[in-house]
Amino acid sequence: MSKWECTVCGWIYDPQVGDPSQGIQPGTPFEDLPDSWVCPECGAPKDMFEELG
Amino acid sequence: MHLVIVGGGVAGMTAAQRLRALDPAASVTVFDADPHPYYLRPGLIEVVAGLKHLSDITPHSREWYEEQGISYRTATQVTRVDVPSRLVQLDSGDTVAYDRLLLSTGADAFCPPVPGAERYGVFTLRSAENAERILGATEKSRTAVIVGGGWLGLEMARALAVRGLEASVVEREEWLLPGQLDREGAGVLSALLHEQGIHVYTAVAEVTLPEKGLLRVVKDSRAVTIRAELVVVAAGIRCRTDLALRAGTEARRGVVVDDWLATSISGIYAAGDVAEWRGHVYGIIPAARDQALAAAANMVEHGSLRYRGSTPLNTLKVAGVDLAIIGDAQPRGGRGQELRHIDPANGVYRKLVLDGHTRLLGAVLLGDRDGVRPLQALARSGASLGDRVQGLLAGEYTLP
Repeated sequence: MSKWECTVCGWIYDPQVGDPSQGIQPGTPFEDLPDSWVCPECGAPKDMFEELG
Repeated sequence: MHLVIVGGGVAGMTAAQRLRALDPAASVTVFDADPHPYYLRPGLIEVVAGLKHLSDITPHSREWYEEQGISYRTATQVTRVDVPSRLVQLDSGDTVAYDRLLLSTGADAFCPPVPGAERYGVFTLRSAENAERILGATEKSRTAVIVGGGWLGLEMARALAVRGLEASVVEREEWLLPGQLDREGAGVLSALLHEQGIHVYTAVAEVTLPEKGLLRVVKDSRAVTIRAELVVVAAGIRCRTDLALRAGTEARRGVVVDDWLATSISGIYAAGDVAEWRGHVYGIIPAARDQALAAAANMVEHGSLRYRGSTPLNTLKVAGVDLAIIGDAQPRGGRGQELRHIDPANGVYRKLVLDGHTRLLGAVLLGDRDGVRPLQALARSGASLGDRVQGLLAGEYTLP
């Protein structure tokens, strides 16, 4: 599973960690995040993230 | 049901979208004084650095909000709340009825008195307009001083250094990030900033602008004059409580809300930087979001979602250095046990704060990005670390 980086603030979504602040369980791939999910640091929506190679 | 939101920052926009989802039949209206459609405020620093345009940090067009069924009116100031009639009055003179009102008016930059500022001018950063003005001023300046060594001040120093300006930071307290970082960590940070060409003056007793392009500080009873063609004040925020105060809600530092984000007036809620909950004005995005989600739920059905506070997690990049403050990092000591790993050669500082049962209360990580998520998860879980403590202190995050 890939990590994804917020293009606005640089926060990185790590699927192994998930995002407890929005109830996202560890092991959740970025693609499976709900559309309402946003960057916990700056509020950017999913489409402002880029996949890290 | 008419749901009206005053203030279209992260709290207001989060609430608008949640209200839309919770009550498809209601009308949802957002008024915002800012002429630009909602942008991601933390991204303004990248605009100042000249690395991004406003459009790069604007998630949605105006049309998108209309498509979502959110009536979004920018450049519109709400001047008054008529509580008995449940109306808001706009700067145009029009009135709009509400059944539930959310005040998410945010905060202004706090600007302490700097003698000479009224004459020579200083900048603050809060809005897109501010960012564009600072960017414009960088074209004509080679030197900059940032008054305030907190998060925003250091980010600003980095941004201006990226623009090619010689940047200095002056801080009244004895070390940088006095609200989050302790003396040892700030020492490692100052050394790293120095390597990047950013000058740091701490324990500054007095700041004045004696003439154009100069800033004078008094430190240890000695005066130092610094070249400062551009002066930015980054000294924290002040809640925009005026509308709420005129409506008659209880306000101290911010608009006082209960665990349901309700103000002292029935039908009026508050969330985000303007809100004061149990004495806290968080001023951070996760809290603004958490509060907005709870406020939205309670606006639709009062009592349905209790707000229980937010865990501060702040990550900052200064001149390429990652700094994270997790939970209660005890910048000035405290009851928790403090363990430190200091490695200035590699630019790494790690501090763990533990309770008597080796549960992680907080942490400071400098130059260590890998530890942020695992330590945040451990702080949240409240699990006893037991014999993992020394390994974590050494930066070993994977479970054996």
